[in-house]
Amino acid sequence: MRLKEVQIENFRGIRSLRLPLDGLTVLIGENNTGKSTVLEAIRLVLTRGFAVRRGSQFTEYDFHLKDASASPQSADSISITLHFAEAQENEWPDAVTQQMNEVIQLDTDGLNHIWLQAQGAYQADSAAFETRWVFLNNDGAELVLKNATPLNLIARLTPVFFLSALRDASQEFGQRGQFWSGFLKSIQLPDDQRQRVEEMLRDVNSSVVGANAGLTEVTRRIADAGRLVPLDSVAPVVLEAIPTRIFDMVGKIQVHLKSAQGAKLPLQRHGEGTQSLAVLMLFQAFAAANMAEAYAPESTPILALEEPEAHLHPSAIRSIGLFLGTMAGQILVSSHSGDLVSRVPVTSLRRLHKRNGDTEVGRVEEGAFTDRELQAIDYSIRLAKGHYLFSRCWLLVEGESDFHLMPLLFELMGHSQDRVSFSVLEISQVIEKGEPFMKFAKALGIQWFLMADGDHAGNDYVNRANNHLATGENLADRARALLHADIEHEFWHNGYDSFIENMVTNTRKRQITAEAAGDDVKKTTLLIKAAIKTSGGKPAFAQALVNEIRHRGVSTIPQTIQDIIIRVVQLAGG
Amino acid sequence: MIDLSSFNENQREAVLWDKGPLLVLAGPGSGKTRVLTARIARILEQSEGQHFRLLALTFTNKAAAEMRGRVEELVPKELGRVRLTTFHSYAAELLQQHGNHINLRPDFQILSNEADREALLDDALGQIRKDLAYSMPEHFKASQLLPAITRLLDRCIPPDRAEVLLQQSNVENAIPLARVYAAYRDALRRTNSLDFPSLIAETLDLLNEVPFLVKHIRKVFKHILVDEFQDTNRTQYQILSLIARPDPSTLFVVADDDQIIYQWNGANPKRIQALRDDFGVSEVQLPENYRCPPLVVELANALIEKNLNRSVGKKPLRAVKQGESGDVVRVFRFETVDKEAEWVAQDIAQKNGQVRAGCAVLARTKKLLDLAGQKLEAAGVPVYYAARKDEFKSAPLRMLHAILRLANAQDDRQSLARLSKAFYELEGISIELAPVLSRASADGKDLLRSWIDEVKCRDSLEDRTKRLLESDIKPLLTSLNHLSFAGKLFVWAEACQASARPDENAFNEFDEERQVWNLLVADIAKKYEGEDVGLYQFLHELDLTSKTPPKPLNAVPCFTIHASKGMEFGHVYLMGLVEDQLPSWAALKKGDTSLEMQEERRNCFVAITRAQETLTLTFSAQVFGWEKKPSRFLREMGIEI
Repeated sequence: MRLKEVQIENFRGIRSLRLPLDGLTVLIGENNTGKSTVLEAIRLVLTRGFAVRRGSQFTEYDFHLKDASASPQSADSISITLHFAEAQENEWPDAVTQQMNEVIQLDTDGLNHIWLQAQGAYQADSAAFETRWVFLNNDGAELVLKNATPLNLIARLTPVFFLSALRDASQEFGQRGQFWSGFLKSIQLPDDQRQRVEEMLRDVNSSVVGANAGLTEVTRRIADAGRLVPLDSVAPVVLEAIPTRIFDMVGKIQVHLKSAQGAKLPLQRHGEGTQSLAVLMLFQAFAAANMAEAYAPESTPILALEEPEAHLHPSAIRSIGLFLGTMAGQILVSSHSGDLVSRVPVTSLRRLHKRNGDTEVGRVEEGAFTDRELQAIDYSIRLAKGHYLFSRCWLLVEGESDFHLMPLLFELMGHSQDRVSFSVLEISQVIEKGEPFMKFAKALGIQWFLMADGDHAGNDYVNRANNHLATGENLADRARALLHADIEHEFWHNGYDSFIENMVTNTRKRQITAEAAGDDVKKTTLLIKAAIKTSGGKPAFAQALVNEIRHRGVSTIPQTIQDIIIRVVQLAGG
Repeated sequence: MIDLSSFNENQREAVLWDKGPLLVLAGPGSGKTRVLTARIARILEQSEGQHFRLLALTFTNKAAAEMRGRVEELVPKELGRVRLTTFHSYAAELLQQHGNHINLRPDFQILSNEADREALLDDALGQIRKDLAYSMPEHFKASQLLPAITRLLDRCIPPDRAEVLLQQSNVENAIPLARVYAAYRDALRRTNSLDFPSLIAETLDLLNEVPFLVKHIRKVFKHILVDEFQDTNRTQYQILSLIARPDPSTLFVVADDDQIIYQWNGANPKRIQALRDDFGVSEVQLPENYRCPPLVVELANALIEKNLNRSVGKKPLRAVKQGESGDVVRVFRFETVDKEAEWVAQDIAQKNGQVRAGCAVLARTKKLLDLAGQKLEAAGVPVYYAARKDEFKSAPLRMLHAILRLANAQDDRQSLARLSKAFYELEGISIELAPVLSRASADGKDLLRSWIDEVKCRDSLEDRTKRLLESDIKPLLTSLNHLSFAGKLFVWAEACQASARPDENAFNEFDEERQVWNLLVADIAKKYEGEDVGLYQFLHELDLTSKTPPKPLNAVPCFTIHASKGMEFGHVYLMGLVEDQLPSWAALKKGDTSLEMQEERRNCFVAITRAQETLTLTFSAQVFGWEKKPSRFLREMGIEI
């Protein structure tokens, strides 16, 4: 039974959110956009106490407060709705349909749906924050339950496991670990075998401890305490080198890892990254081997995984990204890692972002992009530059010079790339003049702006941007062509002509004059080309130009470029 | 393993049957309930650990509750896997859960009594009359039209087809009647309510319109069992065959064609034939009778074999009980029905307490029973009538019910009117509807709150009434907490009763109804396994249940034959065995071989087969002033007069 969508109203930082989920869903987004809140919401609803219809799952800190004067008592009630659904007929095992029958809703295609809602509100009668659990019909009306069975069952059929960013291996592999304890419980020896083993253990103990006369003395001394507190009269003190009873021993089972070089070490002695990986693998083992026994054969676990990248090497992160797609159950991940994002299907991404205080979800829907478009996106962005997906705004530029120059100009104008959170993407090598990028940015809710050259081809770029405007947007909000052929010409015609010309040697200048044969446009182009070559390529030229601008003052940057930078900063600011 | 050692061969065959759809023809006293419950338990036990469910449909809540109890004894752990309920409850459940497919909201209200239906039809008529372009026959009155509307609903006629069908069957005023029918169904929709026939009709609509719902139902319910199948009407049969069709092999139906006595309500001997034709059922007969003395069985066989349309190959009943005591069957003739009733009353009155507790008086008509009841009461014998009671009679209960309905459906004017009426009887304060309605629309509040506001404006208000309507009612208004309010209203009503009140009749039946209320609340709580039941679900349950008080221990039941169906009594007194009573006047008119006459014969068959120890048959030469001949059934039973 898969979770198809979560709807959250007035819960913590989220006023209202509808989040569609896949088998694997990866939440990305800045801090405070609600990724953890989503994971927590699901966990709260599915780990309710047993056999209670009302409870106090939500506390006053869970209510979304509209403004400084709002209080939890007066706040709008919390509602978290989990929508489970079949994607095709008979997807759910009969056992699930039979057991959940009372709350199943059918759609017009005959597919099963279940809507479970937790509602939190302040009850004036009892002066307490109460939580109610209800099932809804397809129209959102409450269904009436004969008993609490469906509520208890759903937690069993879709048990949710939560692994926070700080995965503590010693806890997960401890006696109460959410997966580990299941395995420990299933260890049972027949009585006669158990007695035999325990006898052997006692022998081992006495030969280890008995080998040391000093220890015998310790035992005797401690036994003297019997005079102060009542102790058993026969053998009040026992030293155990190893546990001598099976249940005790089981509780102390440790995982040891032996690295490529070196000795076997308990897991807790390994680095955080290794521990973290081991915990993930433990969940896998649990889902594969112990799940049916601990829950029901028809159960589908939901694993909420916070920042699996924590403490890991980039290549390990990418491996995890790949691994996530193969895991059992339904996986919900939050991540800040471009490396991880580069290895999960693009359709599983959900980019949370805030707009005017509201939480919005960006995603690439199945079938919304052609294979060719996705290839372009994968090649230029996802596979190598996953971190672009974490930017607030993309500046799409035509060529290499813009790519090198623009970040430096932003910097000069006092807008650091990190604070503004923008990325510059080159589109001259991208199919369809970069249109897939515009479409992709729009789908994910990333702001974008196109800067095109002031030539014929540039106009074509600008026109294509027209295809991707949201309703009510003007082309000028999203695209701008320079006044001149390219960014170097833009500077040339805005007072930087002599600076660029001076970079060229006199010999070369003479050759160019001859070559241009009186054609001034051609001469300018050739001079710029020579200047770039002389300075050692486009990045070096950009650096030299920026040094000069710093010297002359920011106001000497051509107005068109200043306008573009201001617009990008504005877009990124939301 | 379920112990079947006390079952006879036929019973065992039915319990263990797994070779396709089965029809069990079970005579009276043949242990069919045991067979049904044992079969359910057997299937549950054999499929332990699996999750599929069984659907077992009965016709009364009482039968369902009894069977649930027996299954629980046999396989307590698996009880959750069987849905043992009435046709109507199951229909209501389906509509609550899936009614959104036909635009029904789950919080619909059930109109359980005729007065509610009539009022709604009255509204609908008023609406049509307002339409100037349309003139309706002057004599159209809600009370007269309701039976016709019910028949249309029972046959599940879509409103837009009614006109044609009515015309085809040459019904007078077909066009206006069809229009009224459409308006009535419209009114049901508008007020988000359903009456009993539309509960079934809408369910059939739902199943027809949402075919995958049937598939879903059968994925969940692998077995379908039906008790008293002979009582199904046409629509119920259509529902049953729809849900049985995906896998008829696990259909298990118990019926007795000799006990069809609800022909007037849509039951029909043809239904059993339809079942044979549609599903090719195998048949097992249970002719063994464990209830009646051999002599009674003999009379019953002699009588019923005179019926023409019985199932082919139907075996005669076979008495299992042994031994014959002297006066097993007694027949008495009287000059007048008054003397007849007097004698019955005296005969019962002189028996000792234990024997008397096993006596029951049966008759074809209510009028005869009332007479017998009077004589019994005059002789100092308490009497119990089993009439279904759809509505509370005492003012406090009516007020409570109206308040709860108003809290659930906030613009229910019917309930508002009832609330005011009950309140007037209790408090002597008259609250007119008009000011409440205008207050509601002015303040934008619901009717109940507006009514309370209106009451609070009166200066003559007692303190306790103020308290009831100010603080006691709060949990109901704010969080629909209905249980605590009921208790407080009863306490308030008691106080009203203690002080002199304008209308003493207001408290008629108050004590019994209060008991009935508490029993119903307890039953509902049990059904929902202690969960807090929401208000509208609570009202649903209330509406689906009869408000008849339980029989006092020492009272003698005076039942119509119809009310006695499914029951058994130690000593049966069957009165009024004369032509015009049993068989009825209507059957006589239709003729000796008519369907009606056969149904009357079945009535007599059902009546005499209630007897466990003795049967007393009485008749008179004169009934209510008219000369009457002895019933032909006496002769048919082989009784010489």
